[in-house]
Amino acid sequence: MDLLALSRFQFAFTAFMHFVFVPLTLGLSVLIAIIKTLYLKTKNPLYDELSMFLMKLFAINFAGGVATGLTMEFEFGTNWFQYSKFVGDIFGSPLAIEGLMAFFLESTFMGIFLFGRGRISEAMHTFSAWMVALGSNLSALWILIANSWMQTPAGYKIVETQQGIRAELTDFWAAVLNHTTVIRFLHTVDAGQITAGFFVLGVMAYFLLKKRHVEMAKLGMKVAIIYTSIVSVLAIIFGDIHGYYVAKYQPLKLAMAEGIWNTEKAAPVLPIGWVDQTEQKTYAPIAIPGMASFLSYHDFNAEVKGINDLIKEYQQKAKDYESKAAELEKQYAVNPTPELKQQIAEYKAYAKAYNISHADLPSVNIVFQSFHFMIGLGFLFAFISLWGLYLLKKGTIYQNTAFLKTVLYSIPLPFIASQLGWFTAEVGRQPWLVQGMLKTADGVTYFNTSANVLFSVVTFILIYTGIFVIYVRTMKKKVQEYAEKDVVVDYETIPTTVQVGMYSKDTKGGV
Amino acid sequence: MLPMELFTLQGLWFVLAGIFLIGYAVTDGFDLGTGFPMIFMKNEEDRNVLYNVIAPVWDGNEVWLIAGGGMLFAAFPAVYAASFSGFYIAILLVLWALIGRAIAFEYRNKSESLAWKRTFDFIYWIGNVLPAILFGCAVGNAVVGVPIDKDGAYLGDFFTLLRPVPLAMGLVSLFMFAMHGAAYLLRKTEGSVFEMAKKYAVISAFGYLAAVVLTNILSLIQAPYLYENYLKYPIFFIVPAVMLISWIVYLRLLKSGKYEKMVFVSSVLSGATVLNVALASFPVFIRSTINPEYSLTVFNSASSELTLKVMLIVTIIFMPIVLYYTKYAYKVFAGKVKGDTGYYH
Repeated sequence: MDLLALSRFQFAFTAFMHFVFVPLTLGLSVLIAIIKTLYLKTKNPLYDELSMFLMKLFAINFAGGVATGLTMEFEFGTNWFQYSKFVGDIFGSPLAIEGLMAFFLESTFMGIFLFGRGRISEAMHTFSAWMVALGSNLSALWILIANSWMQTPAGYKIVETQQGIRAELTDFWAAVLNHTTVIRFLHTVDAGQITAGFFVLGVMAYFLLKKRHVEMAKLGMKVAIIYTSIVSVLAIIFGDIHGYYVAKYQPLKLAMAEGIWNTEKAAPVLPIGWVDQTEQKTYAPIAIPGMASFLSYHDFNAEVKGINDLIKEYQQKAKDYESKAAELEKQYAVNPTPELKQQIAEYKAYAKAYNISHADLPSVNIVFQSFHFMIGLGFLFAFISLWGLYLLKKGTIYQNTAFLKTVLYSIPLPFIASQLGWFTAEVGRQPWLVQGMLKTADGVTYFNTSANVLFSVVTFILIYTGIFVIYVRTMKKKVQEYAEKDVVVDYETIPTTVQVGMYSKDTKGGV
Repeated sequence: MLPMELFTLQGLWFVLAGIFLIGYAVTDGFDLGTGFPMIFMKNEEDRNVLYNVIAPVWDGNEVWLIAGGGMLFAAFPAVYAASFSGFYIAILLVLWALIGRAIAFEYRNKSESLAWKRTFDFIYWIGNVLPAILFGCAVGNAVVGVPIDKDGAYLGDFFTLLRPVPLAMGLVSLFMFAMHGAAYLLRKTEGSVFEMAKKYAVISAFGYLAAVVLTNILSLIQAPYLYENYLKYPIFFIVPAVMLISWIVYLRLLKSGKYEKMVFVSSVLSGATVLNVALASFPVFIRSTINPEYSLTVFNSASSELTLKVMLIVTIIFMPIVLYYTKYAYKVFAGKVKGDTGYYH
């Protein structure tokens, strides 16, 4: 089998599996901290009970995130040797800072929050919850800084070094705050909040439907519905802004996401459709005229560039760089200065990167479909949560079986939406690893053997499938067990200084 | 007296890379070293103790590996790229072992079934032993040399890595972590685990000694260049001296029952062991057996000065903060640990 295809599949698969765990971590850490703070303010022990219960689920999820996250840190080096050498000067830093600034914080305070009860004050315990939330979301920030740099690189120059050609940092803040960092961070973190919001709503709905822990579930539901309403409406706003930026800085991705092959004015949105890549056509029953132009440029008549024309444009760009390089090479023959040599190397790198053809395109249909389904889900989340908000105001939310069932079965949907978003972002970035700078095919560990990668792909599939099955089973089991168990909230003795068991309150569960 | 190359920005980063490696050895060393006896413990309660001693801190400890990997990527991308891709299968084995360890930790007690628990105990054990050996093995291969070409591309395969000196270094790291783990157990446990840890400490200490002697004999024959720096800069001999002294102190503390102080001594021992190898190799990170010109050194593999400066500032700001709250976490969980409850939460 093909080394490149296997390496790409492995990265895609392991990243996909890692992001099964990430969104919930991002959001649930915040919700837990909020609920824990409500306990500190109101002294209502039900908030305390709820936060500790959610923390157990959080811990199970967190373990999966840690285990699969380790892979991501290793994989740039193992499978993307050329890429690592090319971008390490810039891309390595955010990863290192993530570890130093965020992951230490998250992990250390996670231990303190889970096991520290009885050894630390309640205020410190609440503080730990906030540090876990801060750590996980800061972690997302630095990873998205790294990823955004691949999408819209800035603050760099391309130079020839002893170790070959590479991108070097020229402006740290420009690289960190590149064109899309902020919006992509907000969009991703917000998706995490929706995931957690729906997760908590679903679990609370389960208790309400089963008529277990009703008082606690009502409290949880109330907090979660308010939170989810806010974040799902925000998602639509962030999504819109994000689309605007993609149109501006990654026109090829936008064209693929909207299924637009030829440049047109007042480009339509195709709510449903099917992309035929060989015919270079997008079949769609309905078209909303001007909408794609409006969403991309906030102008119904704006011109949206099509895939075909963009490829031509990039090919022209490649030719321009090539002729510029050739010209400089002539000069270099007469007057060999190091500056000229650098300039030639830079032009040649761009000429290579922009030389793309239709054959280099990813599956446009994947980009199109995942983009459209993500948006559909986004609106659905806003609709469901606003429905819930309305029921809350009416005071019937806790009895409305239709609503409770809807949110219960909606638990997986935000997870799916997040994955679809990443499919759009990453498949849509192809054929580049770093947009306009390095093609994916040129980033791979070329001296690796297909046998090696096949072996690792198979092992990853086995291990990750195992983890996924155990994860889902354990999460379900924890919730069901908790529903069965009689929770006695002791209003008198919420532990403050008691040394309890080992680190846990009773012999089974309950920290 | 000291090599001038040390007093450059790149040289400073070599030192920082060393500090991260030592940080990992000292903190995650607790996790690894306390895990080795796992499958030899007969009863459930003792096994619980082995998990409980590090339950609240293991995650944070492992971050040293993640942060260290990131630091290597940021400061010496060519070294990161060459070692991770070159040692492909070995790196993935470490990765899978660590994944297994994390999963075992969290999911072991999610079922009452003994078979379930025993399976995860075994995965956990592998997850500690394998990285412990491969830690030394990987460092050993880098300093002894591997076939990398002028681009840093690795031309060998997995079996190229299984040579006597690196394997012996793998044993050194295994027993180094074992000594460290034993010291931690002596501080944190009581009863049967405590009694076990006394014997464990003795076995590890002598295992360590044997492995160090073996490594040196093999190195003198097969990789004599590892001694060049020491002959050139005799001041470096302070480090092996510290190793020897801390090894003796470790056993004396054990004999006289001053268990509380042993963790400090085993930390020093671990640090000195890592430093020892680093000094032998400086300024080379990965030696090329094809052509010494191709070796990846502190200078030809470093990031741009700007990146190194930025990361230096970041490290200076955040490292003390990390150390501060890590210390706080250990303080919160100070004291002996019991095994009457499993690692539940």
